[in-house]
Amino acid sequence: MKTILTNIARYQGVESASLVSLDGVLVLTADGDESADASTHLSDHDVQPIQTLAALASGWVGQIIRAVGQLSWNGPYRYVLKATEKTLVVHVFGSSFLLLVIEPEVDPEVTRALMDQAVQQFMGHMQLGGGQDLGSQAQADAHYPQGLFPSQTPPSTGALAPDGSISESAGEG
Amino acid sequence: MSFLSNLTSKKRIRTALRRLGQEASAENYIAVAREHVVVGNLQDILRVCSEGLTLHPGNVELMRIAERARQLQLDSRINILRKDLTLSPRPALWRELCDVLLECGRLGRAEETAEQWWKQAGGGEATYYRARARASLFANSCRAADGKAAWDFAMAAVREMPGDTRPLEVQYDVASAVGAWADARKVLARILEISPGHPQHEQRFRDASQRVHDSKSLNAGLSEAEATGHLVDSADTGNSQSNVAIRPMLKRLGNDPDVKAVVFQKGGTALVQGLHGGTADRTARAIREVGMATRAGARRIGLGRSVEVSIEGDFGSLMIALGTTGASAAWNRTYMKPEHTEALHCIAGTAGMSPEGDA
Repeated sequence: MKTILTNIARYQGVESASLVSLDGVLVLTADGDESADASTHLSDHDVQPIQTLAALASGWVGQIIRAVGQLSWNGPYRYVLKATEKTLVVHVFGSSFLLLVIEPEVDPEVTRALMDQAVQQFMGHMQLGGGQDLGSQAQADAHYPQGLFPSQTPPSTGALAPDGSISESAGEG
Repeated sequence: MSFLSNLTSKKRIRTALRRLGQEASAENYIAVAREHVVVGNLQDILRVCSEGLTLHPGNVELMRIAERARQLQLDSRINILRKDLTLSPRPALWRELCDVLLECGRLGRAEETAEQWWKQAGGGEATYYRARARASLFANSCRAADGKAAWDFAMAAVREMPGDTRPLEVQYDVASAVGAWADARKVLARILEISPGHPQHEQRFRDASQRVHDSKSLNAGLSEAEATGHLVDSADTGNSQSNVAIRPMLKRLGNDPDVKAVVFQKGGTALVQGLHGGTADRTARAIREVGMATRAGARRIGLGRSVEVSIEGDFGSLMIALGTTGASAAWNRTYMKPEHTEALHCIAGTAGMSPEGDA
């Protein structure tokens, strides 16, 4: 996952690339020269401005989603904020977003293909990770009593098929 | 440039000039300017653009070419000054470099240069340029910290250059921009002590005296500017266009089949093209909220003044050009076209306002 961010951050004009959860928590970040896991590799002093940026960007995204929600529009997936000193590009996917800070003279359009590709890679990772988690969760649940209504099976949102594809199951409850 | 390409360029310039002689249209001026761009003669580009703009004032393309040529001219001057400074640093060169950088809008670089000058030689002049750079940053970003730093630098420069009015003028700019009229009046009184009888300062003093009753403290004014993103005396309020001029532009943009709606907002008023009734009201309100959230977000994050915001989703794409006093927005079915972006900036009065680009 870090490699994906580093590849974007190496692009000329990109100052930093970060993966942030929609509630504003910084997951991973990389700048032009290096990539680092926010929690382990960078010192608190280094990470703090990026964490602040992540939280503020998340707040801004939330405000826009609320504003366009009045028009019954679904939440946008791509946001570009051009300002005099920096440009911010956000690509939302699932419950996270990819956040890029780029130089003001760089056209945000040039980052579109890069971000789309990165998002696909991230989603691939997440689906793979999510599938494994679901499988292990099911195994763990098997050891516990079924609950108040044993006849009611818990809803499942999806499972990873052996060939790697996702099969959707709606659940009975 | 090779001899052959030089020859063909000159031939093309002559052809373009002949066409311009037959019809002095904006397109023909643009064609001649573009041919000069190929040759790279900045003086000729500026001359043609200036002539064209006299006949066709407000032509966006001519303004853009002229602005670019001027930037290139200033860039080459910056390079020469930097080389001269490494050879023999002296105040006149530092001063000119700071002036050119401020003129280019490279405010961060101007402050760095002034700081470098101050570290090498010290003196009130260097502090004054630091104050000017910070004051310009404040005018762009409305950040209270920039305004306070500009005020403090100017104060230090006043102590070092007691007989010079320039740092006091920086203090006046900051104070008047945030509505701290009592402070502005004090500063103007000191300016008039140094240069009595100056008509512009006397006029400003009278204005400040009239507005002193609704003055706020400097800190309160700075905080309010940061919170609202508006300065009391916005420099480019005169740049905004009247509704009469904007309506045809909105209509032209709205005629594109890809455009669902075009909105122009200023204060509490909105002009909407393409939607009617309650839908138009709701759309205008939502767009206003997006604009406000973006302005506030950019300030909080420290991105400077927000110029443009665009969002894309299953609704299509929405782009808002954020001017100082108003905003224009277009809602498209698909991706935003570059000509729509340009038109929106023109409507919002932000055309030609480019983000700071340090070379």
